[in-house]
Amino acid sequence: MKLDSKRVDHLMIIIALGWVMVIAMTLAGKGFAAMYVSVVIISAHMLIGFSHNGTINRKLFANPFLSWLITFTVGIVGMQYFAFLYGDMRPSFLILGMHPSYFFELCFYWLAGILTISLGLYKRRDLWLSEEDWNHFLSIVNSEEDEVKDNE
Amino acid sequence: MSEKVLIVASIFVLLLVSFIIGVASKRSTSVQGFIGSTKMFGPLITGLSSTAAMVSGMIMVGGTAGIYLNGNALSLSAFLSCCFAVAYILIGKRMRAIAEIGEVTSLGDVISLRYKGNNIIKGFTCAVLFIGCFAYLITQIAAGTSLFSFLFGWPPLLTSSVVFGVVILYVMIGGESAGILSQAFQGAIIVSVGVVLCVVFFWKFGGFSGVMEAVAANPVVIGSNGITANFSPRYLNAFGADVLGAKANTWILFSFIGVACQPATLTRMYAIKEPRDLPYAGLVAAITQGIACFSASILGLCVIYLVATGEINPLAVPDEAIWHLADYLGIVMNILIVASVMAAIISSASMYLSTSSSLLSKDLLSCFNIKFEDKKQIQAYRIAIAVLGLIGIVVASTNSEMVITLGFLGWGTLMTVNLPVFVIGMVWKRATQKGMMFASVSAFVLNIISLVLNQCGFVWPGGLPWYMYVIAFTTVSCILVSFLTYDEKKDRLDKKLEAVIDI
Repeated sequence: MKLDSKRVDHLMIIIALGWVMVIAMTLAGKGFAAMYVSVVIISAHMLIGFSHNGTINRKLFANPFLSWLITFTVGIVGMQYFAFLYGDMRPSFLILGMHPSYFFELCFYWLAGILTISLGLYKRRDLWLSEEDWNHFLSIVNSEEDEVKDNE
Repeated sequence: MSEKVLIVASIFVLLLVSFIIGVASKRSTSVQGFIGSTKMFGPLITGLSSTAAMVSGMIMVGGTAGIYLNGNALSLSAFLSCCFAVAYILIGKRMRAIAEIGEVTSLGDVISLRYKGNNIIKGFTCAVLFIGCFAYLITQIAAGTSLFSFLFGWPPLLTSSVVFGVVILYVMIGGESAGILSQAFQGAIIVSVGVVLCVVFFWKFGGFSGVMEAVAANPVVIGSNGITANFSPRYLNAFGADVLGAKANTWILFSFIGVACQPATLTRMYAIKEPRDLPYAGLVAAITQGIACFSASILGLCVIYLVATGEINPLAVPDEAIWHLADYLGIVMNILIVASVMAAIISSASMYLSTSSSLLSKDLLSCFNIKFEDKKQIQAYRIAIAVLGLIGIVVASTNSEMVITLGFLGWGTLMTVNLPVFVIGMVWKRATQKGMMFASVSAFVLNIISLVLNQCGFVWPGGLPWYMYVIAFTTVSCILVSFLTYDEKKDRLDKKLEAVIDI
């Protein structure tokens, strides 16, 4: 997937607009809806972070990024749905002893985050930063240093 | 032997072991190694020390009180386990890569390399970082001191001088590596106690369902001390008492972007020896932080259970929630909880002490063209540790108003400047010096204005904390000004910096 400089510029605009929207929506009493805008801001940062030489590896995009995005969004939907549904009442059912809203937080927001992002990045660490890419980077740095020395 | 003697003994064993690790850890005599620990540590130490430095006394003590008062409203901020890996995804390999194109000892060096030695960006960013880190240091010392005052009634100045004197001493002797290695040990303690607390929560309090039944059956509790506590099943949903979503919204960005903005994370990115080990460090931090913060969040639920079932009276001072729980659980758990909280406090204190000292003795002075050679730089760093540590002890022990004032600064303050300068600047080629100058200067000015407004009792609209407005302003302005001022000739990056951003 391509993510050249122009697209990075666009994502930066999305990040800036996102922050304005988060503040404006919260001021308008739409704080819960603004959580989805926060997800967009985080996603934009992550996509830029994943990019390497203007591209994003498709496998990295699928996991950790997309798998996290889906589980995280499901988590927020579940957290909000059951929180609004029951309000101050005791829920009619518990999941593993938990309020259903909290269950979504614990399983989808938190545990799924660890499994998709932390474990996912660890499993795909060679795609994230291969030895070859790192050595290539070092060769650029060193060749520049050599050029400077030669000029001196 | 009395309970108090055992608790004191356990704290001093913790301090003694931390001291021995700190002194024995002196690994380098170079400035880079001593102050920055650059490229020195493996993923396990990096991950554990990140956890310990991040899990401060605030999460353990303030978190328990917060959940007792507001239910799970705080848990979104506690469950930031995967955010270490997110931070590495955002800028981790770039931060490590930049240490290959120049000498990196401190965060100021990274700013110099990224922004071609621009002293305005470096100066104002480091000034905000210094204020944030020093404020954090003072609040950690104050938290440790209040622990001793609550448990034993000891005089604050004497207590903090002894306890934090040890921390100052081992960071002075061992440098940053002393901090990192002792933090790894302290992190291991926090996690071990966390596992025990989880077992206690399910075994003694019936887990989540036990708390739900207690709260549903007793929503209003009037204690024999005349204090009333109000609970609701709402407290046990994902948002607790946050009915506007303002806190939830803040915590998401606070965690997912905020972890990448903390010195405890940023400095570890270049302290790691092998850049390809960062995902491993992220996994270690996720598991250990997960256990530590899960246990911190259930501490609050345990207190709710105890008050709702009438086992203890509603609390007059919610900040003392964790100590009432520790008292209730008996001598062994009391010792474990106090040791864990103390480990959280001194690990964060040592991290913020070493970071604020390097910012003062190296980064800020260099902006005024005061630079030292290797040996003198280490001396200056050690003097800064001693001076800042002593000021911290005196302020935290004698000036409670100042502690409350500085308590407003911290995580949010660090985000106001590090989000534009590091998280955006390290990945965006078009980020201009003018954009970053505007962001860093406005972060400095707005932090001070916000502090004054908070002092005057100003209530920020929408239920959002002050720093959300400042972060939004600095982030949006750095992007906007960069677009408006980009000059192909002046702002074009050299080949090495391009390679850093492209990696």
